[in-house]
Amino acid sequence: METAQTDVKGTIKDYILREFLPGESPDSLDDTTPLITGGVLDSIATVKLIAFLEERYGVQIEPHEMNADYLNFLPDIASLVESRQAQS
Amino acid sequence: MEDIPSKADVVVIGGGPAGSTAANLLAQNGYEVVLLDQARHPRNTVGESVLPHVWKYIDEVGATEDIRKAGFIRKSGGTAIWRGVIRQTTLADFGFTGPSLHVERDEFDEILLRVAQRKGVQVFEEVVARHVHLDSSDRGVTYIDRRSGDEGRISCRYIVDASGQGAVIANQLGFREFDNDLRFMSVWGYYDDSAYVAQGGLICPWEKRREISPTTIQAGIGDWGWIWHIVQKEYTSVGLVLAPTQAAEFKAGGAKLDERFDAACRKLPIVGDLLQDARLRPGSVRAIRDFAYRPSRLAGDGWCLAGDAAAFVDPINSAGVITATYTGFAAAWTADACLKKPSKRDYFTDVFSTLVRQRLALFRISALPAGHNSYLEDNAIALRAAQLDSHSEQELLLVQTKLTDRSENLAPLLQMDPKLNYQSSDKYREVPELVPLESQLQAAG
Repeated sequence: METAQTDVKGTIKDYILREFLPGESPDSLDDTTPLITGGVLDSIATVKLIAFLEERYGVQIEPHEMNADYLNFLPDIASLVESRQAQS
Repeated sequence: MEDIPSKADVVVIGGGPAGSTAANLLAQNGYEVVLLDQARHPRNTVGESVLPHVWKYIDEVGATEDIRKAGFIRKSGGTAIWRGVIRQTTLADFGFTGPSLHVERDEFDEILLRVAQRKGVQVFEEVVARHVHLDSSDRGVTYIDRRSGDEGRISCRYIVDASGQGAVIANQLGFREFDNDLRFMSVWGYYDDSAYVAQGGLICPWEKRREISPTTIQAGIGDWGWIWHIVQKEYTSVGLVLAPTQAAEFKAGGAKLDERFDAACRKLPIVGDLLQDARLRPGSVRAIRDFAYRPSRLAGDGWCLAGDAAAFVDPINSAGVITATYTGFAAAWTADACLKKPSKRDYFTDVFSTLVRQRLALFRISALPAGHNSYLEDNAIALRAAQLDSHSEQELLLVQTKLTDRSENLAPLLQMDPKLNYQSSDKYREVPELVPLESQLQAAG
């Protein structure tokens, strides 16, 4: 269970670093980094992230979840993906 | 004259900023894209003040060098004259990296269109999309080639309707809904040798526009109306946005459109003074009415709307072109996702509709005074779009709400949302009076 969680979170973290924070150290993005309110994910990036999650995990982030209430922190995104995976 | 193909992956209707953005990104993704535009470019249109957020889209489509080389006039910020108070903003204060431009839309739009062509989009101008066939078994667009009068049909897998005020799909399916709160008329024209206002409330002569950066002026007229003053390379765009009673007065003014327009502009405080030594270019005046409407639908199976075809509000916060490029980007993303994974197309279409609806709600609510919102459901979703903006964009939006009373619905919402970065901002200045550059130089010397 622990490992699976880290994998999902780690994969998402790697994706965000690669796509939206190129050249930044991995330390700059942790569990408490505010992704949307902190400006890491803007309107274009959020769309790309949603596409990535669908592609990589077959998971659909619902329209009402596409905002800072659900996607602001790495652990929240990872849990959302995992709970959606468990459903399908 | 090249033949228009009978088949394509995607047909994009319209070659303005929304259409060329969508087409460009899809072509870059390997799709065969045909773009139809009823006009021949270059062609004039309005929406000439563009916020610096536009650069992220210009960069995505690969038009950065071309836009820089065009040498559009760089504006330093805005001058809002509302109920007798003059307030100014400086865009550099907000941390934007790219300059903010005043663009001649014929040139700007053509640059974007030609870049799209270079990326592989097949562009056909003076071709009017007459009918869209949306059934999956039969999807395509029927068109008329204005040059030859020939009718034709392109079969395709996806359609992006970026047809602007023409709103092909919305009109065909009957869901174009006028915005009850915003039944406006706009009349605009182009002046030679107009003076302008720079930072610090300085009135500068026309010749200085490259040396001393102009501001975009928005000056209120009565309760709802306003006038814009946008300095460009060779002339100045001046335009009126009039509420229904004002529009009726304007139309009743007799005489020809050019004369009525010129007289109306010269009568106004401040802008009228700037036009003292200026001359209206004959034949340059245009008018449009009821250009504000709302989207009751934004997308469906195999199609989506982008740019003004989706919705338009009011140009007061310079958001039209940005909204067009954003929705064009979203349209390209959606078309690509639907075509790659047809079994998930309902989901992707839903994503598109949600994100674009949020963005349009924000656009709309930023132009609405308090007590004039017939569509309260917009409030909550507008904030979600604001959350996705960069810090600079959020702070600028908050400041924009303080410059005119048009954003009275939005201001309290922004202040209440803890997920936004700015609940207050002081990045604007009240200017007690405008001072001619000459007298300032004399005083200094």
